[in-house]
Amino acid sequence: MNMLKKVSAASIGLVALMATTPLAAQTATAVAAGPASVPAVDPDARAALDRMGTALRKLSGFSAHADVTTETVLVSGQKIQGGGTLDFSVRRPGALKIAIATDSQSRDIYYDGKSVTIFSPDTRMYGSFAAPASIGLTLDLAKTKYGIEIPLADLFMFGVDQTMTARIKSGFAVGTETINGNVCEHYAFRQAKVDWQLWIRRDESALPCKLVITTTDDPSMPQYTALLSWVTNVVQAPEVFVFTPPADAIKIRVATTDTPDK
Amino acid sequence: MITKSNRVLTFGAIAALLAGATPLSLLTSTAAEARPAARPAGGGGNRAVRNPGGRDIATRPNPGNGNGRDIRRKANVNINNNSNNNININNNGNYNHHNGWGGHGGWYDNHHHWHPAATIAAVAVTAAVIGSVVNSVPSSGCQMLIINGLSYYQCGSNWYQPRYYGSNVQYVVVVAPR
Repeated sequence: MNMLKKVSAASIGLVALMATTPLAAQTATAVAAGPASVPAVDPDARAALDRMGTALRKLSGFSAHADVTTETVLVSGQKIQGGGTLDFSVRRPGALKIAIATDSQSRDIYYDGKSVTIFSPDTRMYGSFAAPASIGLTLDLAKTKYGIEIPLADLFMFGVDQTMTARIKSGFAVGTETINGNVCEHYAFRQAKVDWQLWIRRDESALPCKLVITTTDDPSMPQYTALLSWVTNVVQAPEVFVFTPPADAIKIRVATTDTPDK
Repeated sequence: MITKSNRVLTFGAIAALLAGATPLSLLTSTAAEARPAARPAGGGGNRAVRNPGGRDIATRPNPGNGNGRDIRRKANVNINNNSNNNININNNGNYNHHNGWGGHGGWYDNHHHWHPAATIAAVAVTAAVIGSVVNSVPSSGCQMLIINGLSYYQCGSNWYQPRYYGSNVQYVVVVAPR
């Protein structure tokens, strides 16, 4: 096993070195699949993702809180850090609520299985659009048609969207670390445009402890970090996910971003 | 009030820095949202809306003078980033979005760059090209009206219709609805 790990690590190093261009990446894949027959994605790393996906899929609902830092790259290449929080509530199959708060912007997003509403607690403006019956389809619609991307959303898609793991070009286990009092296994992955690191609890919950996404298609490589905490034993009532406009709320429309000027 | 203006100064730059979020990236946040003081009258007691303190981007300095401080891009907020290159927005008016939509490989910045809102708004007031898009309406002299169930801001002879574009609110210059 140790031997296998060493070989595997060497291969990944090679992949990492070579995977700077698509062409090189292809070459690297060929190398990785060479005589040693060691896949670029370590089996234990892939298994960890599957384990987490299965665990998440089993939950009929959950709440998660994330403390987040993100980086902005200026034209000069200088990076500036910002922070905030995310609070998710999920009730499968078709309900989701997210509260996003930063120093400069707050948004509450409601999805009740029929429509999505985005609300600004500060400006009191809200807008809604009709949505499909599942969380996954709704997240996709929000992103592709309305330009609304939910941070960390794809983390919850592991175990649902098989293309998630198919996109990974390399992956390996870094080691065991303690995060917020939980013993977590640290994994490092690479795929197009991003390197990412995921910490997964070693206990049977297999929940993600932390996620770091490094954007690699900019020379300054800005990073996004989310520290996660979970409540999995409480499923919120359906009403929680229904947006009821406050008396002073102002309804405005939501423009589509997939076609010009709509 | 002193506290508030301090906050403007303190957080103005931070807000501006955060301003380059994409419409996609909610958490990564946009700049402060300017909102006219005028609110619709009547209609259910709780009309008073708290001023988003320190969020008047009209008071923010504009450090983006070619110092390289314009925002180039933000960190991805999801692992998968297969998206939406080349967002098109029909900016046939005065909105200067030099950091660009779709300008860097599938990432689009939002509208809030270093531009002081006052400048944008002033341009909008004088030009007010129908169909053009601005980040904010003038900080004074506007009133919000609901006409046929739709919200408008009337600023002199110019009318703006707010909308969400991604996670940001922007204002489209429209023909007077009445």
